[in-house]
Amino acid sequence: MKKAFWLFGMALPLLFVSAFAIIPLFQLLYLNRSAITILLPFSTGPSGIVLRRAIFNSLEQAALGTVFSLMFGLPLGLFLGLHEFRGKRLVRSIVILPFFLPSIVVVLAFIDAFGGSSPLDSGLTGITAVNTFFNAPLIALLSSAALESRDPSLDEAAMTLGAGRWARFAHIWGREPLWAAGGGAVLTFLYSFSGFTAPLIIGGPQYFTLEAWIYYLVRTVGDIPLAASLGAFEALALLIPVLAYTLLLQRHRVPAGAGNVHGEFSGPFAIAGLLFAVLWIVFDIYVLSSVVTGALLMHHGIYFLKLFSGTVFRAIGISTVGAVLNSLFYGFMSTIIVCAIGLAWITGRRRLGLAARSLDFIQYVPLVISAVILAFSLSIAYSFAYSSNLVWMLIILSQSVIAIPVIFRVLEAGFMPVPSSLAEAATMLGGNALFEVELPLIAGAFATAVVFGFAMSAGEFTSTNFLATPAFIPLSVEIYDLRDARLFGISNAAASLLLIISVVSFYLIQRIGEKFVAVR
Amino acid sequence: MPFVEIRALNKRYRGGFELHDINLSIEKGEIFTLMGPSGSGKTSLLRNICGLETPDAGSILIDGREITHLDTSKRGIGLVFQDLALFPHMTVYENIAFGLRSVKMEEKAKRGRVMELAERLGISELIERYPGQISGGQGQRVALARTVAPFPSLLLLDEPLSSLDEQLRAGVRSFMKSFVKQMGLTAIYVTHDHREGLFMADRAGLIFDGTLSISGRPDELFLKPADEKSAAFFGYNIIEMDGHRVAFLPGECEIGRGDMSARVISTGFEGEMTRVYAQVDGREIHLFIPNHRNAPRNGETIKFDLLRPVMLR
Repeated sequence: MKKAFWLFGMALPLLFVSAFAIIPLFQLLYLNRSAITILLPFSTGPSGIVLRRAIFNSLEQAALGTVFSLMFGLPLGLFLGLHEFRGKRLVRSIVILPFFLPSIVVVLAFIDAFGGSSPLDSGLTGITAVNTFFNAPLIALLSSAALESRDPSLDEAAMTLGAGRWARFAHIWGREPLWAAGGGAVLTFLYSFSGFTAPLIIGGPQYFTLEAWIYYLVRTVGDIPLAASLGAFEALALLIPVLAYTLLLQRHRVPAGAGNVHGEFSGPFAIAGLLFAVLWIVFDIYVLSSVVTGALLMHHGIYFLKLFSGTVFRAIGISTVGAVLNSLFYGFMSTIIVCAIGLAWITGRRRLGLAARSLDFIQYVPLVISAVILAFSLSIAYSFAYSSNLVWMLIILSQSVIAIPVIFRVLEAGFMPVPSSLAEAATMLGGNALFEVELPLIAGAFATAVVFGFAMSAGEFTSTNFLATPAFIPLSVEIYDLRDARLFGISNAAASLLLIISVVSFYLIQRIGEKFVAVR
Repeated sequence: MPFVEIRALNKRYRGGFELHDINLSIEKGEIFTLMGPSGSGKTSLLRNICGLETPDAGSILIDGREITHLDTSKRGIGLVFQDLALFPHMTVYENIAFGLRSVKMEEKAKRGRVMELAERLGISELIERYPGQISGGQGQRVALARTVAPFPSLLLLDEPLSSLDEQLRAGVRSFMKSFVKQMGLTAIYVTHDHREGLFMADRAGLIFDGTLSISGRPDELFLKPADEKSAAFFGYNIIEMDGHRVAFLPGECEIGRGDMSARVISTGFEGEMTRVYAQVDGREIHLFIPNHRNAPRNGETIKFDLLRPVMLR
């Protein structure tokens, strides 16, 4: 009976992801099966041309984003992981901040910072700059965490055996950060391949990725079969990096908060690293502050007042207060859903003693299905939601599916150091192992997961933008719609508001569960 | 009728290991020690008895009541975990009182029970502290108090001293034995350390590869090991003599005379005696010499005689 209960707990995420991601996707593909052919990329017709162009753009942007993110992120990660100095926490926080910000805010910040027509905020270079700005912090974060968790005795042993600086880097302490950076690079490839906001806003049709094309084909052209074909190709293409990432994680897992090794700040490499970090931070602050100063400086900050006036409602069909309330509601609901099924999954695994890493793939399935395809297939599978005013439900479901990989990993990292004997002792003594022992012990990880859930939901733009009708628009979509209505100043003010919410969330995550920040 | 009875218990694990046809009887108030090397199935057997795992076949009875498929918390069994499993977010008091919540008692009586146990175990000064603020030996006592607080009918102890250093272990095991006896508890004590196991036991059993090979009085088990595995576990040397396997204890031989000869590999002074490692017909043995000055040199061939040879089956 109990075994069946825990098995059900373990199966919950699979059921959830199946019901709200996998089955809708297959339904979408099935409904359009006559239009989908494996030979489509080789077709000489317009569909083939569109698909080839989309695949090329996705690959090109993913490759460039990955190379540049590694170029900037790895040195930053090595610097932060290797050296200890005063103010390091602050430096680290500012370096990694962009990764935790909503894509729409980052894209608008680039436009405000560089005027909308410079190489850094237009065309392929602009998209690459945004992808790098967004993902280099991820690589820095993962590689520095891996470096800090290294075993110093191995380095000392190598030193006593006569190994020089480079030999120790290559054979001892350099391996884990390089593997971690490799994992970050795979994620960067994945995120850039399915990039949406930057190609949509600063790229234009010439640079549309598969994701942006799908959105355009459904929303503007109404060519559902071709959009489904693109979705099928995208899911297949994303399967490869997701599998690679899962395998990488299985082989090179850095436990949260493991070790705390820091080298002293000395030598030319440390100074060069510091200079590099300072340049990055200056760029960081310049770009991110542009969106706020843009809204503040234009007409003496009048746009912040207009943000809460009737202008917004007249333009996009919802007030800012309504959009903020929607954001809070979606955040609250999706966080509850994902944390609940995450806890069921992890406790199920623990009670049944199934630590098999092969099960990890379940939590990464949502990464295979891109956000637009997820929203698109959900809107078809549960089309009744539109006629029954239940769009909010679809938005919550899509945001929950998207949040699963991150929230599950944070919760899992929290549970990892809690010995199963504690739960067994509580059970034997007639107590409730989960609520009385495990949850109080993983309170930090749980709180981090909750804030992560809120932050991800508040910043989620791609699927929400696809699904939301005016009454259900949250803040992230309000920013885009205001821009679409050419109310740039008010859009900037809304972006500033979302930026502040995101920075506060990030600060809370850093305060509550810093050791879980690098869990990805 | 025995107080604890395990009948034909079988359990197969992933990876191929299995508990095979375990039969065991323990009388009320008895301390039964289950000894065996690491991975032999000691902890697995305990986990089946307390319900953290369910056997594939067989039955477990306590005081005549079948508990094989009963919920863990309803078996009335207490387990002291190898890592103690003290709840780090609860004080010593809260840890001890944890199991009492499901016991029908007045709050005042519960507090009295916690304080009485703390008094008996000498930890009343630590009652407001957290597990992270007490020593390993004190942690043992807290774990013991927490386990016996809800009046278990059977106490299981899974290598409870393994995290303590050698000096502390001797003191804690003596204290633990007298406490269990004073409380009149029936206990199963699991350990891989035969000295600890023999000291604690009223009766003892040996388990190898998931099979309970033998049980009996500790002195009988030790002085007349039934087979080669048991003899090796108790630290006997095993050699061939006239076509028979013979076991002898390292200290139960006389060096310098006799028909047997061994080639010395190494020697080392250990304080109370000198240990000599040597080879006899390709088998490695070790012997004790009380006097360090007479220790043989490496490579030397020595003569020795057995004072108490034990013929093995």
